[in-house]
Amino acid sequence: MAFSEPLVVVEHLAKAYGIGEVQVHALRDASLQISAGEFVVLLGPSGSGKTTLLNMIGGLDSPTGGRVRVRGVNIAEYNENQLTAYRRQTVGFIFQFFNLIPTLTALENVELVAELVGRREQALARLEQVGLGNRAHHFPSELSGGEQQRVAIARALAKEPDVILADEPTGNLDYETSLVVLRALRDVNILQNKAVMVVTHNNAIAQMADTIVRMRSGVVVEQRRNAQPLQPEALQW
Amino acid sequence: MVTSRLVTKLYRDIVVNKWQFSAVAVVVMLGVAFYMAGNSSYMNVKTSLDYSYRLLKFGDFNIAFDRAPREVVGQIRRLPGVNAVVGRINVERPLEREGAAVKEIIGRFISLDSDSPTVNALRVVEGRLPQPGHRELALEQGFAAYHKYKVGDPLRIVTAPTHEEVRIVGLVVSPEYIMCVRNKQYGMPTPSQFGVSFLPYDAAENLFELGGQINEVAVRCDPARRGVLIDQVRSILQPYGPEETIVQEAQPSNHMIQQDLQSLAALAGIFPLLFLGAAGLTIYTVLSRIVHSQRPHIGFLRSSGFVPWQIIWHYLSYALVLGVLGSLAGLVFGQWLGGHMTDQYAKVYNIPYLFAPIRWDVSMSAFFTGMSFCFIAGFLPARAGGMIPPAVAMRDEVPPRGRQTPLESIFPGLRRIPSWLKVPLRNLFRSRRRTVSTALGVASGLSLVMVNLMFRDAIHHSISSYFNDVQRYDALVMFIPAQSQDVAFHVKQWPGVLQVEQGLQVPVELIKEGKSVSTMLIARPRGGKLYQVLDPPGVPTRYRGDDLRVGPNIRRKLDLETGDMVLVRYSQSNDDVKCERWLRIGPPMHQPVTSLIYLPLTVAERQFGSALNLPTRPVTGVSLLADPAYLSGLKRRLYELPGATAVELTRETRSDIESMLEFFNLFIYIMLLFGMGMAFAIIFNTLSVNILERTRELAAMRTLGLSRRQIAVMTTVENVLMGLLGLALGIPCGLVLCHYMVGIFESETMSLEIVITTKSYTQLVVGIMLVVLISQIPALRYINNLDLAKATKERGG
Repeated sequence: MAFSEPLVVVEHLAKAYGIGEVQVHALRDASLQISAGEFVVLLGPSGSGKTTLLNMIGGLDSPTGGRVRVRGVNIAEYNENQLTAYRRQTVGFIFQFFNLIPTLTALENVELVAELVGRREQALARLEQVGLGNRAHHFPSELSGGEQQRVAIARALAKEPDVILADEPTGNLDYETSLVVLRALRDVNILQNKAVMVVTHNNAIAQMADTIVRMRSGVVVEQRRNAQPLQPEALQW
Repeated sequence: MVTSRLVTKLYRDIVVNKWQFSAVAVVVMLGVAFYMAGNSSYMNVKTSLDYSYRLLKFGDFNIAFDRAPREVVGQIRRLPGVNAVVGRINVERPLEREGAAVKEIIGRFISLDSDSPTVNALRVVEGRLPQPGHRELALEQGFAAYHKYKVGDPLRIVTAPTHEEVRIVGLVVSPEYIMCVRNKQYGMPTPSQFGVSFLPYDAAENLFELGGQINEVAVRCDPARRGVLIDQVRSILQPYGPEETIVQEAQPSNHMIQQDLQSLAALAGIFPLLFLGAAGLTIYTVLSRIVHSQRPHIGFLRSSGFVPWQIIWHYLSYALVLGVLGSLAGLVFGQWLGGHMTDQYAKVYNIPYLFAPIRWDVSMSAFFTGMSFCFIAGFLPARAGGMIPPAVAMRDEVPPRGRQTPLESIFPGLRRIPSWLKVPLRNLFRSRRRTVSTALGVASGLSLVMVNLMFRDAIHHSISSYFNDVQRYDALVMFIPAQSQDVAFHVKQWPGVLQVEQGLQVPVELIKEGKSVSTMLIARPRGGKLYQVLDPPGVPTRYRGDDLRVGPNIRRKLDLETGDMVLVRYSQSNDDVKCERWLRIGPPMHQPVTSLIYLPLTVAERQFGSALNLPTRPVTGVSLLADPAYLSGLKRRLYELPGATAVELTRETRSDIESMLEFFNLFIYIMLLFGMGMAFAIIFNTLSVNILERTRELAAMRTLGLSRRQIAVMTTVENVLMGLLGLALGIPCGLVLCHYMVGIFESETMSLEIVITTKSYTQLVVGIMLVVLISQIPALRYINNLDLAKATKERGG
């Protein structure tokens, strides 16, 4: 499948930070590109820099070297206010541990983000989009892991971002539930032409990607097209 | 603009943690309530007093003299600046009362020149004012209540050799006798021995044989001209032997009330701030925990595009909601409490007119103060939450660096202690924030309780110390005029009398560099045992040298040092009897109660005897130790001695002092209850936070195989260690606070030293540790009932 001009271009990205007394070079020299409508899976062992790269693209953190160009603009030079606006308008995050607000219902969790961009009335539609319209008034403690993750997807979509960034979205889920979540992500990618980037250490999930990126020790060691992406149902692990 | 679903989150978070929020709100409520109650009741009393003085035309100054024709009043009235003047008869006579010895009860009789005097008017509480042409009087209300006099009863006045009966037609309150104090030297009301009555001038002049004469003037004047007017009036009264001028602020009743009000104002100012400070600390601790436990949520919010100030405002809102709820509840409770406190003050002080409006200004101030503390306390953790970089918030918190504690370095044997002891010990050092905030929480709760226990013990100690070490006689008879020392030898022969000492008492002013203090000079024999002078810290001393012994209050007021020379003037010095001497100040003395000054008897006789025309070896008082079985009979006999004007029994004086302190004791016990409530709320919140923010860790320990009991033991050991740390911090902090509070409380009649008995310390320590143990129970119960599978996975609370 051919994609349009790259939406996100990462060039020689580097990031070093301290954890306690230890200096960690999470990224050394990472480069990749993501186009609109592209489904990218970022693979690598623990500590390879996957989450850090995701955070850089998502504007959660600033690199110590290199560039992240989104629609031609280098967000690595953004100040905090610009990064906030970028996160509000351009990216939607999905996390391994869902991070739903436990004291808000599913609908309210989506509304919380939708209100940021003045689209509160569309919150229910987002939930229905992921098949949870009938669970709108349930609290996270009343939802299964898969349902919670789908609420998180709906929440990420509520802002109508250009890019969905998912950090180990199935890391906390069983096989069946993982498939449900991956299906939802694939639907968003295809039906709404959103760029989706999934970070995972599960090689099987890479089979559904349009593009597979491998990282090791803070460096992108491979970026290749997947000639025949599988449907989520066909994945086996 | 704050997203409305954040408001929903705020509300739901508060509901989920409702008990903790309620406990913090209660702490805020108590602080605001006491601010409101303390300040409003103080202002009510002050305003009521000012209002009463204005309405009843309280005089600006009085001058007593021997006797003068009534016409002098006209001369004084014509002086520029005089607004009003009354001339009156003011005499004291013993009252006859069944069961009481003659001269046991002294009545002061003051004449009224009209129905509505232009100076020092009266408020009629019951009945009416006495009318000219009738032998009737109005009795001061407090004295009437004490002796159960009613309107219509006769008052029997001893006019030697017989007595006169005058009918009581009214009960009144006078601005001069709100606290019915005989004179400044008495220092407190003694309704058992002294009362005041008011009667028409014609009745007074006949009863007391002062036809057409007066012996006192009371003046209201332009305040700016008071000094000049006093000199002019004294000049007019010069032929009649004027005594000391009593200005309004030195008037005994007013002086005593103003002193009490000053202490009240200080306490009303400082105590609420202590409580609100403790509330602030609690809010800071609780909100810090909430921010800490919601780091992943903060990370999500920031990653979604929420700006920092939205996060800050969201978390600050917790503190503001607490502030609003606690402050509003505090206003309601404070209004109620303030009303009750005002009523109590009004009863104690016998204020003629009570003015107790709803004090909107105090309400606003209390609300604003409560909100300010909550805002400041909540801002720091809210800001910390808002400023966390999103990537950092998303990361798992880096575990604190694991290492051996300093204690283990100093005592290597500690490395071999079992884990259930080692883990709690290391936990103390691993999160300094948690340990310090817990210790501060315990320390602040302890300090609040400690101050109140100190007041209770210190007052008890002062009174005990005074009556055990200073005033050791059982009875004291006072004479006017002074008698010869032979009377002491005479009394010593009486059955039941064990020991006798004579003494001299002279009312004086101490003057240094333009400043003066009125007091009573007490002269006692060197080596006397029945009334002793104490060296600090409370050791009885024998009089040495000829120096004047002065207590800390007067030393402070006149800035006196040992060796200074001070002018001692007889307080009733005039042109006929002029008596002043320069005396040297001796070493400091310990003086728990009163502000009297002391000289050896022989020195006083030498310095003042001839100047005051006193007899050889004069005495104005004889004190005695007696067999208790004989005391009541001895009292009657002492009154019958020539020149005896008053007899004091120490047990009655002590009882009067303790009655007078009843209200203050009630105040202290209320404060103690407040303090204990605050201590519990602070410690409960702090310890609950400590346990709940480590839910995942404790759940992990349970999944590893530790039993509920083992977790409980480890948690208890850790909390007890933190409690002990809090005690170690709180006791010195509490002592510093005690020093400060004692300085505020000091007055002319009582000087406190910090005394906390062993029993109080024990109660304090045991009480605080019990609170520590009880406070952790709800949180431990929560941990015991955790869904372990869920708790070990979830991040944040």
